Amino acid sequence: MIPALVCVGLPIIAALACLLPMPVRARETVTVAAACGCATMTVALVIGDGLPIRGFADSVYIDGLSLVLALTVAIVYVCASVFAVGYFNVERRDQDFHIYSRRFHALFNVFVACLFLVPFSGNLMVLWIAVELTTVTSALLVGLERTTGAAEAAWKYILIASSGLVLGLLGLTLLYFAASGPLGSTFNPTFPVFLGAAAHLAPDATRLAFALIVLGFGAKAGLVPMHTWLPDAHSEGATPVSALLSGALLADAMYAIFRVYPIVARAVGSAYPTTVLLLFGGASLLLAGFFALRQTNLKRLYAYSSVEHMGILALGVGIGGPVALYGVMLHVVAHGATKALAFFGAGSVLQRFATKDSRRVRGLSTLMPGTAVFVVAGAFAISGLPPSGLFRSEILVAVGAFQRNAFAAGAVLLFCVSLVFIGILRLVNPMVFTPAPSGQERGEVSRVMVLAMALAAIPAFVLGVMIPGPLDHILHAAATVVGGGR
Amino acid sequence: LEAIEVPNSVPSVSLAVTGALAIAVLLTQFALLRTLSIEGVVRIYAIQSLGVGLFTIALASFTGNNDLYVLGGLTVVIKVLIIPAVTGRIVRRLGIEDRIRSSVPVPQSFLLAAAFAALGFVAAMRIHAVTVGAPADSLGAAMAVVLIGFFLMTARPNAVVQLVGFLTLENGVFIASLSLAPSLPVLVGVLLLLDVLIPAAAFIVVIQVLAVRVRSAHTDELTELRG
Repeated sequence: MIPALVCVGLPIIAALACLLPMPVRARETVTVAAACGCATMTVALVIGDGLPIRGFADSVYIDGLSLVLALTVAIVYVCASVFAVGYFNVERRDQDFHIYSRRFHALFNVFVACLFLVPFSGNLMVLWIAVELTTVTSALLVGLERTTGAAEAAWKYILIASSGLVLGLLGLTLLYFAASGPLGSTFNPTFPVFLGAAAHLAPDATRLAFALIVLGFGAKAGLVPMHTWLPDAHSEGATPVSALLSGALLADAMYAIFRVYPIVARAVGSAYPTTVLLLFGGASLLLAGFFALRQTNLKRLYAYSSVEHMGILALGVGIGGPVALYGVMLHVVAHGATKALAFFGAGSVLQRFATKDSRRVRGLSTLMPGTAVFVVAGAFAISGLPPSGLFRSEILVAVGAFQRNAFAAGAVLLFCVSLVFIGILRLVNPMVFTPAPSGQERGEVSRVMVLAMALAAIPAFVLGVMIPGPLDHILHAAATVVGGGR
Repeated sequence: LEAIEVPNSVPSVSLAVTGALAIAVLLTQFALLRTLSIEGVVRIYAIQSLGVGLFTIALASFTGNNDLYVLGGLTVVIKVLIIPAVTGRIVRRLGIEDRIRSSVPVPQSFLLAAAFAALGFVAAMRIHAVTVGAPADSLGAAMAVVLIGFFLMTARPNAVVQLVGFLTLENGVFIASLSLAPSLPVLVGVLLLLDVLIPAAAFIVVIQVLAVRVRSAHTDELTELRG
């Protein structure tokens, strides 16, 4: 229990510290230290046993599924906090920046605390509040960038995500209502309680509740058709924020769906929730695939790739079965690290060339050889090419689909992954493998940024080659939880 | 179709009273569609929230659940007094134009809203038909408030109206939640109520940014990000 409390508490303490008058460098150090502390605690939770951990009348409930998410948050937090050191070093160092840095680092850490709170909450209502808090903190982070584009993005984000979450809340209340038959009118709405009573839930109310929950939390996770905020917010925010939004926040929103799915599947049979998830997942994959083909801003392209990857998660859960579900869990972790890597690459390049139009970037392999390596690595890994972790997880989901005769789902998955790959290749190839324009100076924007990319590349590729024993254990445990213990 | 018996279901007189209050809240939603002045919209939101507060207090007296009195009181303080006052002050301080542009004219808005209201009641009847104890009137009104709230947000491209539209969504879900599960742990209820403050605060910050950048609250002028 203590490591979990540290994961939520440490970023809050770091945020408070960042509010004090201190040099920018000190704030960055505090944030990196907090990130390393949280990562250590998460690893301690993964290695340790005694799951599930429960506390505060089951308001805190930590099992394998929670740890998959917490580990993802921790990986992205460490990489993004290191990346931020280099990113802002180049950006600006004037008096205005001190005010910006104070707000940025405080909000950044509070945002991460909320991200950790989501998978640790064992109570449906606490979970909802935690997800809502992530919306508020992250929208403010996007709004911190003082441009009209950022204001528009933050506005759209908070409007769509919060309205979606209100529907999600209605869904959760309906689920509570559906359970008030077997459980009485007063009970603690925790996951174990719901799972225990799942067989006796009122079926019609449960069906409506699930649709509302997928619609509501799906808006936050960027599932089509509620995804319209996502490309804006992800491309307009500062790059470390984009990494957290895409790598950690979206998965956190999917976590709510992972939790509710086994309850609903047990209550009304798996056919209904499976169909809902396959529809949303398939639609997200298809739309993201086609939109990826016409993007000219690499950050925006990666935002559409996030829609695609959330689609894969929904599709994988819809397919079901131990193989696909294990793939989904691996996908959560691998996507977090890989998306951080990809965004860092895109952010570094767009910063150096001071443009959002990636078509104006040329000669990267000559001008920034270190960054170029990671831009290509990130592009390959996020497209799911071997030996990346995403290759492994996507293959597992596809194999799971064919094993369970979900041929259409498997085909949609493979087709759309190829589309996004073409979109990425179309944009990245001319950026990297072209002659450098004359008069451009050779050199990296910042070595710290390259270091952060290297850090993110480690899990992104290692997971494709080997999965450490304790991680394998929690991935299996998480897949079992989502599969309803089957 | 399986019917379930909900324990402690409230008697019919109270259902009539709470149902009437919920429908009063729904009527204010129509009033919001009719008003094309920011000051008017904020005032109507306060009146609507008063209806939500009274609904909660009525439910408290009928179910004997004392915690609901606290929730009702907090609703009045936060949604009737604080939010409208803060929003009104910010609008005045920023000198935001009072006139609201409308992408759907008022008469057409009314027709569409009536259709949404009907849809809300049909959905509520559907739940009511299979689960004894779900109050069809207040649930239907709440669903209608939610649907019209969404419509309001899309039909009026103005940051303040969109903020109020979002807050009415929360009001609708609040009534729906209380109708379905009046015994939902009250601590959770209070947390939800406080949660209204958080998006409200964020909205206000974003409105300020918008006003500084674009010098109006018209969100249809924000057209930089597309595709």
